[in-house]
Amino acid sequence: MILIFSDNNDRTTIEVIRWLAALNKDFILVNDDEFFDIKVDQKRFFLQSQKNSFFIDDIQSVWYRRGGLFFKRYQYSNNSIKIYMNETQHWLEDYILKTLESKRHINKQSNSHVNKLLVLEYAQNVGLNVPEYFLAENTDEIIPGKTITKAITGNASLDNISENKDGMLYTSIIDKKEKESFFISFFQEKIEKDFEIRTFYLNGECYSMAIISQNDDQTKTDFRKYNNEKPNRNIRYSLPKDIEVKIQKLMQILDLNCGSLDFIKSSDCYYFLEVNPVGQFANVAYHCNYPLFKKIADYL
Amino acid sequence: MKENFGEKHKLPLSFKHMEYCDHTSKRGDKKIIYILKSEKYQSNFYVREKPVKPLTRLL
Repeated sequence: MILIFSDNNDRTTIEVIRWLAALNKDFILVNDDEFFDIKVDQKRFFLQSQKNSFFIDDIQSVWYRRGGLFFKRYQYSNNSIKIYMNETQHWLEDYILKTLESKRHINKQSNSHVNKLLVLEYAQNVGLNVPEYFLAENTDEIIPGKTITKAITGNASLDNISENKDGMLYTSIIDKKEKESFFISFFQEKIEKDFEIRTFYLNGECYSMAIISQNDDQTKTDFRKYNNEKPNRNIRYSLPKDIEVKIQKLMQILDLNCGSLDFIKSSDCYYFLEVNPVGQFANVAYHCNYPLFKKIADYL
Repeated sequence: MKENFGEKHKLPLSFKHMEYCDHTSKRGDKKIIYILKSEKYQSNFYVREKPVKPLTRLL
C-alpha cells in the first residue's frame, strides 16, 4: 500500500494517481485537512481519520507531496496529567512519523521545508555558483540597479492583505537607496540572465527546462509574474554533467530525494538560486514531455 | 510602504515592492460548490484534461 500526503487541490498529485491507477497500485491519499487517531489493534498500530484508516505495517512506501500526517490529541484538565499525557502522545506520534519516514519514500515530512539561507551556504560548499548575497537592515551597502531583494520564506504570497486584495512579494530590483532602516531583508547581486532553468530532481536524476523569460519586461526579473497573453517559451534543457553532480551532492546534504531547483544561465555560468522540495513541477513535465508523474508512480 | 500596513514593527524591504491582485480565496467565496467524488482517485479535485504537447504539434 502506498501512502500519499497532499493538499486537496494539487494537480500533480492527481496526475501521479492516474498512473498509480493504471499500474494497479493501491494507495491511500491523505489530505491536509485530515486528523488521525492513533489506535492499537491486535498489537499493530492503526491510524484512523474521518476519511481514511490503515495499519502502519501495511504501508510500503510514502510520498510527502504536501501537507503531512496530523494527529488528534486528547486534552486533560489536571496540569500534571496534561504534561505527562502530552509527552506520551508526542512519543507515539514521533514513532509513527519516524517509522513512516524509514519506509521507501519520496521526501519526508520532517524536512519538507528548507531554510533558504542554509541552502545557499550548502550550495556554495558543493561548488555551485551563487550570486553574492547578504542580509541587511538598510541600503548602505547596496548598489542601486544592481541588487535585488526577495523573500526568504517559502511562500511569497499574502492572502487578503488588504480589502479583497492578495499581496505578492516578487523578486524586485532595488533602484534607489532608502533613508530609513527596515526589517532584516535578503539582498542578492542582480545577474543579467540569458534565461532561467528549472530542474526537477528525483533520486539522482535531473530533468531541466529552460524558461526564456528575459525578453519580456514583465517576466525578466521574476518569471512568476506570468504573462498570460504571451507566455514565456519553455523548452527542454540539459545541464552540464558537473552541475548535475553538484545538484546531487546538495540534495544529499539536504536529505531530499526530490525537489525543484532554480538556476540562471549567464554567459558560461550557471547560478544556483534556490531549491523547493514541494514546488510545482507539472509545468516541467507538460512543456518538456518528461514522464515525471510516471517516474514517481513507478518508484512508489 | 502603505504606512507599514499599520504595524508597529518594521517589515522587510520587499513589502515596499509588493504587488497586488484581486483576492482569490483558495477555499472559494461561493457558498455552494459542486463536487464529484471519485473513489478511484480518492479525491474531488479534477483538472480538465489537455492534449499532450506532441498531439498539438501534429495538428
